[in-house]
Amino acid sequence: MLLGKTAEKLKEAGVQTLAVVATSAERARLFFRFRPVRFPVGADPDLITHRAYGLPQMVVTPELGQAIEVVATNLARELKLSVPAAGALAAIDGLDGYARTEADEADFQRHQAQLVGQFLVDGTGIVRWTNIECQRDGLAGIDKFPTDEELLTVAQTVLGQYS
Amino acid sequence: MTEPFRTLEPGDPAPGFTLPAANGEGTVSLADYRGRSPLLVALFRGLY
Repeated sequence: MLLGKTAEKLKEAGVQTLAVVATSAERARLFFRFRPVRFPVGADPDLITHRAYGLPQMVVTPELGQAIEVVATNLARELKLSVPAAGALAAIDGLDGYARTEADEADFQRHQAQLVGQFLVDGTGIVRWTNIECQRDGLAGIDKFPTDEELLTVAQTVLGQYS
Repeated sequence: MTEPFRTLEPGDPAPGFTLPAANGEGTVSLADYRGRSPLLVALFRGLY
């Protein structure tokens, strides 16, 4: 999970982090043994939370599959991994000694069209800011996460108005 | 893109949830933070 340093910076700004992953708690606990994080993570394999927060799903198309593989290939290149075509995801997973399993592959096939999002919620439980994957950039927005600077600015300005 | 439900917008109440903890024991809940701290809720696809 890429949120670790972001969560630490947000905590310094007075904002806690709560993540939800879309796989079983059993699978997730195994994963987080390899990649521990310091903030709470909930397991929601049935995407009930995603639906409650209104995160859309995309129709699975060859273009979508290609966009996902491009993101993985670019990340593998940044990590200086030499990977075969269509093998970037597995190579990235293997970096920390974690081997993808059939359950992971099933999650991927089931969830690859589920868009993700981040929501800043104030202390009274009201949503004050949202970022929905692909909402601004279409397929070019796959896997794009707000920068730490963007999140910190939002935390300080938007939430500051309601504290 | 299919959109069978409405995406949350600023000003909406955050829907509550309680889920099995994925990196510890017990559960995690949005209600744990209400009245205590602002919160970033990050929803992921699969494990990340």
